[in-house]
Amino acid sequence: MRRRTARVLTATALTAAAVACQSAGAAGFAPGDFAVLEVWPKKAAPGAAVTANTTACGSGGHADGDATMVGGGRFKLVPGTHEEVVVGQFRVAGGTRPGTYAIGATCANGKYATGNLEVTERGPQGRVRTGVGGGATTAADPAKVTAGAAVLAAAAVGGTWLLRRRASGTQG
Amino acid sequence: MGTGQAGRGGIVALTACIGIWLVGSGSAERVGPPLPSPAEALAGGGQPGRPGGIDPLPGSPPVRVRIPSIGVDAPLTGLGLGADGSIDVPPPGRRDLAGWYRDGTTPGAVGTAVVVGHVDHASGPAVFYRLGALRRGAAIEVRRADGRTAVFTVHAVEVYDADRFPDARVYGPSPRAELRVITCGGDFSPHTGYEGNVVVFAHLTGTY
Repeated sequence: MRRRTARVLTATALTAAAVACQSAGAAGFAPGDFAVLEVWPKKAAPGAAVTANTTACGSGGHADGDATMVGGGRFKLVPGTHEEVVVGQFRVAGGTRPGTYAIGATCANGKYATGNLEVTERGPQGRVRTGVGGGATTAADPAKVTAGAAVLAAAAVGGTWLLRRRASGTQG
Repeated sequence: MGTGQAGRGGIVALTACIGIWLVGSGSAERVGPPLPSPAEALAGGGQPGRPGGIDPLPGSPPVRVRIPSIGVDAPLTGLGLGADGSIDVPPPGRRDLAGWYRDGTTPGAVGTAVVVGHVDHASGPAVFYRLGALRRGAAIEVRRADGRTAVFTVHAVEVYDADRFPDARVYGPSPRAELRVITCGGDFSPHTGYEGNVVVFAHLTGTY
């Protein structure tokens, strides 16, 4: 347990160093420097597929990825839809404990890229609350109701008149 | 005399019918957002699909979702999780805005990406009002920050009760690039709101 924590901490420190290098405005990476490995999703539950990509390897390069800290083993990164981006996938093993882990990739040209993955106990759950009912009813149309009432009244008057006429006709 | 009276009687009856129709159609009636037919349901109990022939994309956040068959073309904002673990919803003020679960899979990459939008607001329909009318085979396009567009094809449209929401089926991992598009749906009650969610299941079938 202590050893794992130490590894996580070391990896986090390395990532911080990599970020610091970048923000310091280093124009290019000499062999041995750390580049950024983009890891998506940022948070993954055990069992989730994770995609890692980096531009560190150069156009047409490739890399060997290391996701052993989350039980994802080693994986290949190869040029994807963009020539300058190498991309690979791995899976977070079931039973991986929540925490932040470093994922690494070593390019064929010797550059090393690293990025963090946060493993969560579980992903999203349950319904989403995306409606309040404003589209569930149409507004009433008072003009139509008034017109309808008037027409109904006319029908009643007409009907009554007819019935009376019929009654008087029968008598006479 | 008989025919004349019968004619007048008919006119009175017709007038009454028109009056009843006017009052009925003018009164508030229950018209809700469309719901999917059972024919659009998941086949095979919703087992995760096998990897498709199409190469998944690298990770990159989405910026816009387009669903031509129901007239949706909306910007996407990033959404986190609420205290109860459910995905937050976009701010209610913007009825044209949809959102995506920003800590999850990015659309086009391997895994299950989630897009969420309102079905309505207090004053009427919102961005995903017609989501329940989607059919199998419909296209959903998601443009991403890296300039690529992921094209998904709908393979099921389901509606789930809130208290029986199948988390694993909707949010669970997948070995291929998949997308879920979620909005509110089912019967509406003024007291408890919509009874559940419409969930669209789609998988990656193209990129450009």
